[in-house]
Amino acid sequence: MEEKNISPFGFAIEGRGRGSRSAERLEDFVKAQILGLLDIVVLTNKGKIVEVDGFVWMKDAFGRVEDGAPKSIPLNDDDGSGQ
Amino acid sequence: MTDLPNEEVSRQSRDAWNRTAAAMRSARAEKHPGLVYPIEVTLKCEPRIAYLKELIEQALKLGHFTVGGERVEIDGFKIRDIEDWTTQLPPSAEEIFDLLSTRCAVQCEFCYLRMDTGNTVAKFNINRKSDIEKDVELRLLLAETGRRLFAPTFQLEEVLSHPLFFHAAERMRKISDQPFYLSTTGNALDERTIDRLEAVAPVEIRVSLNSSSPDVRARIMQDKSSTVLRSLGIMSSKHMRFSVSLVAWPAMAWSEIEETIRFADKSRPYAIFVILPGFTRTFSPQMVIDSDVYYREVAERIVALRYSVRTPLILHPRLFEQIALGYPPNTNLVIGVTPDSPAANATIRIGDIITGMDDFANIVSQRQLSNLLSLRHRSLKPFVSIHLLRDGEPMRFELDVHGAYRAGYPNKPPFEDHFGINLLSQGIAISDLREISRIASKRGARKVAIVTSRVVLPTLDDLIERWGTLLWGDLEVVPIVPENRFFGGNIFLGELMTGGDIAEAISELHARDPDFDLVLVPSPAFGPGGWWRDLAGEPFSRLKRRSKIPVELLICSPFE
Repeated sequence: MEEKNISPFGFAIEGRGRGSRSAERLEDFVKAQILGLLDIVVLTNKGKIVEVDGFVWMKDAFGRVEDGAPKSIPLNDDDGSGQ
Repeated sequence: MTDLPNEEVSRQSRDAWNRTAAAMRSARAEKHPGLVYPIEVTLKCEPRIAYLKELIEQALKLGHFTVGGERVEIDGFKIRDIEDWTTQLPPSAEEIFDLLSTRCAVQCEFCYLRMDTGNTVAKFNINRKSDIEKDVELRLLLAETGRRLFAPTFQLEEVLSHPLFFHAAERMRKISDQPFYLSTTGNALDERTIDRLEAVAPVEIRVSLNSSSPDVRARIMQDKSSTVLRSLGIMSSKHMRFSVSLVAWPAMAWSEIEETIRFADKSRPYAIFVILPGFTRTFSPQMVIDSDVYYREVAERIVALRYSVRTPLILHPRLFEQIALGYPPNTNLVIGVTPDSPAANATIRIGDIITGMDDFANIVSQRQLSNLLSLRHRSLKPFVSIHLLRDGEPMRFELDVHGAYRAGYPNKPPFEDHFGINLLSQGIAISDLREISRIASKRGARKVAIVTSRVVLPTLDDLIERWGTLLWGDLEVVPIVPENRFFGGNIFLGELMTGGDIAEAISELHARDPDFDLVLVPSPAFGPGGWWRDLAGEPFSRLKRRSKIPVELLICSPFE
């Protein structure tokens, strides 16, 4: 059965910007999310544990390829909260 | 119903088994090393696992993980620390026994595994024996420290065959005095096993006998052992609490079913359950029997047979008997009295209609009587007074409860029992109807539909007619019966409906009458536990989103 009653998930830009913060703040947000996830679970491949230490955006995702190379997020954090 | 076995049913069952066996082989071929819970088997009890899976899959859609700068493939995850997932809950022996129910020595034609639609949350436990043992050991350790882990919903087979069963039962008995409820085909119920079960009492055993004839057992169940046939007498001699069940399978002649009932009756179980067979859409593309006609004939024969056996004969689902035989709904009709029980000793008998108990001279519903009997049973009072109508005449009987216990009647607390009185149904609680009014009032609704099944419909209609005006004034409450398209076939129980079935019924209702402004869904379709998911793993919130009419859950126990 089709889910006809679901309202579309909205997205828009609110506000004009309040200072000179860069996209690094968002990068930190994504990093904290993945590290939080890896605090709860360990990733596997064919049942074997894989201790990952980085995450790389796909080239075509969200235009995150400013200098022509995919941007990587290190997950082996200094505070030891990662893996 | 003829006295000849329906061979077409057996042929269809063989085909269904071939499909199931192929699915099992395929599942085993796909398995990963180590203990694996498919996501589906944790959905009903721990949807946070599914949430984590979604998060990881989202990350993998947008990028990839690396080790030392090199890309690595990821196809799963493991829980890092079990402590994150445990809860402080009373121990559950059944949860551990379920994990051990991975094998079966018989192949019954009517086994539910042959009719599996494949898209329920219950999956084959394809883990290696050693991994299952590790899983059970972990859960035993947690239980011993007052904690529980989420319970996966694997498909269940036979527990008594598992070599770890008594190890688990003995350890659970040290931390819980609650009865163990075991369902078994009885192949493992030899004298030594029964002795060991007695040692971990209290235990209630449901023996899935199905047939007392070695020939029929070989034909229908692929069983050549006669252990189960001897087991009933042994359990009876030890005054153990047990019941017997049989599926009224069309591939058995009625004479074979009756012979089995008479055989079981000799061993004095507390009840014999005769189960009407269900066929899902996957068992056979065409319905192999006309269910309504067949069920009605079984019901009529069971009712006739009740008067010539001592043990209560109970049809399942119970309320089908009311529909088939046209009983007035919401009547406290006695359909059986357990031998040697306080009720049997006081000469209460089939056909009596109970109207009161002790100081409650005017009992108004089936659920009220059922609750009062349960409370009084647990109170361990020595005497109970029952008021009833026999052939229209009011009568009163004094039940000597302790006298029956002293004489060896085994069904005392902590087992659930009603002094040996078996009623047609537990009915519907008036408090559930009052809840309809409360929710409707909160939502400002004026015209409410309540989801039910066709077996419960006459009972609900009658209660609405008798109590509706008093409970909710001019609020309009209309029962609706969704068709079970998820399982298909002849499946009609409310607990086996899914959110999809209910959503379709609501769409049809909305198209017919757009004035309905609320639909109430009894909670049993969305399972026990706090997560409210149906048998397909879909949450109730999804039904709320997709419904054309506002929907609310009516929290209640099953109507039966």
